[in-house]
Amino acid sequence: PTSSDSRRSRYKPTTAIITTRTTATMAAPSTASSGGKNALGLSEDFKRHTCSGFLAGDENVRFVPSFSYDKIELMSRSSIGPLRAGIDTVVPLWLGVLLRQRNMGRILPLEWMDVDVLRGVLQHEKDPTKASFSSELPFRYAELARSILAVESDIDQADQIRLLLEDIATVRMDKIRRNLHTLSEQSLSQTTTLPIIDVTNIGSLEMAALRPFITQAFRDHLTLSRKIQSANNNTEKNAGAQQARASRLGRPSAKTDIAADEDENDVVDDEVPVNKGRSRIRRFR
Amino acid sequence: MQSSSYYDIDSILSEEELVPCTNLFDFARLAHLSPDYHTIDTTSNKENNNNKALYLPESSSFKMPLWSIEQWTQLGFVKISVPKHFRQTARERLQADPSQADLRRYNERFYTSGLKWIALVSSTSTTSSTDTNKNLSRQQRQQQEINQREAKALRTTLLQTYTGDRLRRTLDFAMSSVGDDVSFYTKKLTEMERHLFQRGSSGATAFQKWKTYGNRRIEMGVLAQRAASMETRGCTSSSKVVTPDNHTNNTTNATGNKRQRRQ
Repeated sequence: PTSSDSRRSRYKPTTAIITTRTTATMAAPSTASSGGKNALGLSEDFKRHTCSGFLAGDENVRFVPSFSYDKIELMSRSSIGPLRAGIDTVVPLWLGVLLRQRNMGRILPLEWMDVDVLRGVLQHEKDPTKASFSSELPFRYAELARSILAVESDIDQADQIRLLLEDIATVRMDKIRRNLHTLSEQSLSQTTTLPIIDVTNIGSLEMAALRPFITQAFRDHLTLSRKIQSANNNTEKNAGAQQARASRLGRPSAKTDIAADEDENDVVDDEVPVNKGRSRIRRFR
Repeated sequence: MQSSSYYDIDSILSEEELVPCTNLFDFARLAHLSPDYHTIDTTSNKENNNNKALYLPESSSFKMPLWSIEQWTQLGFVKISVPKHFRQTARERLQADPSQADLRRYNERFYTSGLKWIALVSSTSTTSSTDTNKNLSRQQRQQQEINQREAKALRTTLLQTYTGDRLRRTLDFAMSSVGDDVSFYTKKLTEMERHLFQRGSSGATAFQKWKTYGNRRIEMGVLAQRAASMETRGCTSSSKVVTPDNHTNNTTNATGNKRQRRQ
């Protein structure tokens, strides 16, 4: 992302962007903004996509600079080590892309951006026996691949890598959709069992694409299964909260997203009709 | 989720659901509620307030919207029963073919109306349980039990319809038809499902948009746009209220939101 990079390079001490995955998604637009569009026609969901692309800039890549520079102290990460010409160092992606665009170095291809590895991943994804996604691809593989392939022109077989990545993305999306189908068939129609999908190793972009639908579906499910006028009320609300938490196993960042939805559950409390105050109604003639 | 505020339009409109009720004693001057009002002769003695012809006789059945009879049921004036499309036969028809059922044809807010009716039934049953038993005739109690059974069955039906075939089809349609006209599908969905579809397609179109533009396209925030347009107009000291409708200069109407597309 060029504009954000130029913004970063102007100021030495960068704004504190914490790179751990748990808090990275908390920096994204809050899930409390539930609308697809606000009044001016701008899409909140597109903002989430660009945000995750922006946050992918913090991932580390190996970079071979063509110049030497001293250690850079930054506020966000500890430091970017001394750059020596010709020796590969680990830099954040935004810096790598920035320097590559000015032809001051070269980004080395990542381990998983290789045709053979990607073919293996595709095989794994297509295999119907394996329920979860391949563990080769990191969380933000789509954003990383897009940035690197856009900037770095002389990776061999770049086109093939692109095609393979597109195929993998399609197959993964289909996998999630099939999971949702089985979820809807089996457990969503009951209110007692916890609906769970196993989505370990999901990609961040896939999550962002499906997030509004899934959160809305779970909210509606909660509304439809909530209104029992008895002591069962509490267990149902807890079930709703638990199901929201458990539906993203293995992804700590996802828990903070869905945890914001639990506030909806608590707000719901005053909607339960309370009839204790009406016991003293007199009949009128 | 729709906000549960008092002014929430969706819940207000979903209470418009007509509920069949029978009154338990004569209603004064409310004869117009009865469906065969036009046969009553009202041309003579209009000034007489105690005209018996204007009374709604006991045990006449009529249909009233849910918001109006909520107090009446709790005061014990009327006896309610199940609206037509929540009954056993309609439910079975729904369960037989959930995805093709045109829920919108009966009520645009099928699910929320159903929930409101269930809430009404459960609130009547709790208030009457605090009354002394002799106030309830056996017939009324029977009706209440029928209502409660129907309410319970309706709850499961609503949940199963929503999360069953319709959810799957909505997911497939939302995720795969970016930029296509799927009004043939959405015109059968209730408001709740339409909202769901809208969210799904919004996510899908944002994904598509990201694939073409990446991070290059950055949109202005709401406050920044308003500030910019206020500067260009020079209305820093005007008392004009800034509403979203005023900003016609910078509406980037993105490709999402299928319902606004006219093709």
